[in-house]
Amino acid sequence: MNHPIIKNKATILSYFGFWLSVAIIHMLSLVYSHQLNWSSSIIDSAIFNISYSLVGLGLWYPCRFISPKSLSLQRILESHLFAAVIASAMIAGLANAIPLRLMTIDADYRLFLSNKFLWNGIIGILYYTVIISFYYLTIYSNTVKQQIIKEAELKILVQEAELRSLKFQINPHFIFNSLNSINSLTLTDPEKAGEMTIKLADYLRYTLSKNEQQQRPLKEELDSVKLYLEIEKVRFGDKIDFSEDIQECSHKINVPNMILQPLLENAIKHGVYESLEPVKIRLSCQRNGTFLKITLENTFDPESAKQSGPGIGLKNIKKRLTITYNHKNLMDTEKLDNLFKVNLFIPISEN
Amino acid sequence: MRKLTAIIIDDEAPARAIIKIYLNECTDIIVDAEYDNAFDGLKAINENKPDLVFLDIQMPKMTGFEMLEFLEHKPQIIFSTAFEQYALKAFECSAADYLLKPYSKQRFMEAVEKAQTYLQGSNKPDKAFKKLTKYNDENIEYLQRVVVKNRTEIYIIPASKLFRIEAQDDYVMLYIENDNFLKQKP
Repeated sequence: MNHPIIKNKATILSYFGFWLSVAIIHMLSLVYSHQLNWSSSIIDSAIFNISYSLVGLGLWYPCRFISPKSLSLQRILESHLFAAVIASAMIAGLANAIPLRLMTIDADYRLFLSNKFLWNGIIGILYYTVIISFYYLTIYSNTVKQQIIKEAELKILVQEAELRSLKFQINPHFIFNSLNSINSLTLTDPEKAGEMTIKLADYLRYTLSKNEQQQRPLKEELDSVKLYLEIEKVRFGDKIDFSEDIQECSHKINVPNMILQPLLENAIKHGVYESLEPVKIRLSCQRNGTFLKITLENTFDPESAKQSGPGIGLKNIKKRLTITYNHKNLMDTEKLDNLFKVNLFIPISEN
Repeated sequence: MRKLTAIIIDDEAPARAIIKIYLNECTDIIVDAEYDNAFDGLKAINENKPDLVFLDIQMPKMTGFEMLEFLEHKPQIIFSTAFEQYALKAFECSAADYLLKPYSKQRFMEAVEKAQTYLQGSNKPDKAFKKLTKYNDENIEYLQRVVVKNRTEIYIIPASKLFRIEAQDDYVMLYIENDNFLKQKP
C-alpha cells in the first residue's frame, strides 16, 4: 500500500494546510493566553509544527508494519508508546534547543521555554496518537474496500462457473442417432444426407462453441432451435407437429443463449420419444410490457410411464434465469391432461 | 435352402431404411415387415414367427427389452441402438449381436452372419454370457416400470405406483391402487 499522503499533490497540500491551521491556532494561543509577542509566537509555533509535520509523514511506515494482523495488541501499544515518547521528546527538545541555542530571543520567551518542555512533550504524544489513528483508519478502510472487491469478484467467478455448468449439454444419443440417419440417407437420398450433415454441423458448431457472450437476440436463438427441430424431423417425420407464433417485434430482444434448446429438447424427449401418436409442439414469443413471454407447449401421452417431474434441463433453465436476472419465478410449468406447458419470463433490458 | 424372414422394429424411419438396404444384399433373407413401435412389433413376431428381429431399444411406451418378455416365439435378436450401456443386458437376453448406431455395413453383415450361425443351432450364446454377467452387478439400474400382459392388453405400471409385490409360485402379483396384476416370471 502506498503512502496515503504523499501519493499525490492534493493530499500533500491538504496535509500541510491542516498543519498550517494547527500552527496558527498554536501561535494565537501563545499570543493571547501566554502573552508572548508575535515574533516569538511565530518562531515557536513554526519550529514545533514543521518538525512534527515532517515526523508525521514518517510515522506511516511504522504503522504499515506494526499491523494488528501480525502482532498482539499489547505489543502494538508498547511499540507505539515507545515511539511516541521518543518522537515527542525529540521534537520538544528541538523546539527548546533551536530558539535557545541558535537564536537571539527576548527574556519573556526564554522564561516561557524553560517551562515548556514537558508541555510540548504531552502535546506531541497527543499529535502522535491522532496521526497514527489516521493511518490505521486508512489502512483499515483500504482493507475493507479490497475485501469487498475481492468478494464481488469471487461472486462473479462463481456465477460464471455456475452458468457455464447450467448451460445446455449436448445429448450424445441425439448425435449418434442423427449420424445413423445420415448414414441411411447417404444410400436412400444422398442430397438429403448432405443437407442433414450441414444442419448437424451448424447445430454442433453453435452448441459446442464457447459462447463467451451470455446473451443474444431471440431471432438467433430461434434459428438454432429450428435447426435442431429439422434434424429431429428427419428422424421422426410427421410425429413432430411444430407450429409457432412469434411476435415480429420480439426478434431483437436479448435472451440468454441456449435457453430455448433445452425447452425443445424436453418437449421432444417427453413428447415425441414417449408417444405413439404425433405430438403437437407450439412455441410462442410475445412481448408483454417489460417482459418477453416465451411459451412452449407440447402434447404428451399421459399413459407413458416416465413421469418423473420436471427434468434437470428445466431446473437448470430456472436456475440460470434466477442467476442472470437476480429474480426468482421467471419460469413456471403447467401440466394438464395431455398438455405440458413451460412459460419463461425474460426481463427486457433497455439497450 | 429356405429363406430366412426378418422383422425390423425401430421408431426412426431412416434407421429402418438402412437395415432394409443392407439386407437387400443378403439374398437369403427376406424382410417380412417393419414397425415403428414395440406393440405392433410384438404382435407381428408372435403371429408371423420370423427368424430374425432387428430391434431398437428406446422406443415410445414399451422398450425393446420390455417387449422381449412377451415373446411367445423366440427369434434371433439383433439389437440396434445408440445407447452403449445396454449391451450387457442385451446379451443376457441371449441377443445374437448388439449394433451401435451408426454402424458400418461390414459390422452389420457380421451380426447377420452370427445370427445365421445361431439359427443353424450351433454355439448358442447363452451360457458364456451368463457366466460373464454374473460378476458384473455394479451397473444395476433400478426398475422404473413393469410391463404386464393381461390376455390381449398390455399394461405399463410405473414402479412408483407399485406398493406391494407378492410371490405366487411362478407368478408375482403386483398391487397398485385399486387394482392388481398377475405377472409371469420372465
